[in-house]
Amino acid sequence: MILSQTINAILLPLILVLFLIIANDRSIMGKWVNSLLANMLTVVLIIVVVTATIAMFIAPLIT
Amino acid sequence: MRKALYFLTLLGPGLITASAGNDAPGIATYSVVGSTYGYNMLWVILVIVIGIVLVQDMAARMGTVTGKGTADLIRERFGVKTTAIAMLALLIANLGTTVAEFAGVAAAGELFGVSRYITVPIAGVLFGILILRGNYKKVEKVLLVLTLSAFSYVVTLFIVKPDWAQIAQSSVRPNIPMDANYMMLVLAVIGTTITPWGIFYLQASIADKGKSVKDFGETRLDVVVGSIWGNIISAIIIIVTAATLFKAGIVVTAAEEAALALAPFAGEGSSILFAVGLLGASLLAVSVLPLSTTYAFCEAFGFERGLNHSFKEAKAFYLIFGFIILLGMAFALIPSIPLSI
Repeated sequence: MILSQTINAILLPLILVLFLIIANDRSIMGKWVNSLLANMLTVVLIIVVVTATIAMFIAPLIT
Repeated sequence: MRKALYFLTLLGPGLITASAGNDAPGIATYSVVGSTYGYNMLWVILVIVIGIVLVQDMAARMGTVTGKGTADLIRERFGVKTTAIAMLALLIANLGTTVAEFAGVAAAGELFGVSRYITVPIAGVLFGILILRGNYKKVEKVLLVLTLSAFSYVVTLFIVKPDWAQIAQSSVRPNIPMDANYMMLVLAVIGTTITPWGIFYLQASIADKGKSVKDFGETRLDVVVGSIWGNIISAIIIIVTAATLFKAGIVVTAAEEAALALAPFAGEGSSILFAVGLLGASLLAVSVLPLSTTYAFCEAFGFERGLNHSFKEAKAFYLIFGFIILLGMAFALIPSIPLSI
């Protein structure tokens, strides 16, 4: 059960990158495009998830 | 009083999606987290609150402004190939979770002594009919009622009486072991809250509901309140299992184990409450998750979709939905399915 949730997280950055592009596209969102804060926080989130994913795979190799 | 009631009517997709985030695999995750690491993962919840509000706000904004779902927008902006890849990723993630939801119904039912061969088919058929026959408003009402089952965890919290000082300390200065298991669980906690399917579902149901841009303030409120409430419940489940199981050195690997293990510490009532919460969340997710996957597929490939359409008008929508439910039910009924990975 829990593994399915870990998979959710690993696939999240893929969706978030697509999201970022669409949410910043003025021709789609008009004046409702992402704020700078929203963009920064989303990038941070992507970095956190990717880092945790890499850490999970590397950890057994270095400890 | 009037204002409070009006506020309640504003709640909808945001609350439902957040509550479905505390689904069977979510409850399993939090139970394992709490029993294995005590309060040392609560900081992740704090981080996630920001994350989920951020992401769902984007999804809600996109749904309101364009009136379209996520998959639709991906196809329009990036073309069919990227969409197909995204759909494949979504399908893999969702099928695993869907099976886990039906497994949650099975497990919760069995905690009450009812065989899964009764509960799973009934859940599948009942919610299948609800989706088939109801329009968006009707379905939303039923799902909102199911979100109330989360209150059972709040009650359990008061029974358990945890050490709040220690909670505060562990949240601010957690003891983080740098091992793969911890990382896997950190990802699981993130992944069970900020789910790809939740994103698709929120945007699609907002588009389906037809909210206009000038009402976006209300939509935003629903999203923020729903998300925060969902995370509070997550934290409560971790705290409840940490205060009882972790303290006693009992590590559980599944939600139903946690429900049973609580009894010696917090009384029989707590087990029942836990089971009620598990059942409610599973039933909610059993409708939401297949629905989300169906929305995404229909949008991605341009099929007619939506709860307000009749079966005749949107055959692919209803057929795909039915297929996913049947598949999920089938896997959950296999006797030796490993529910506790």
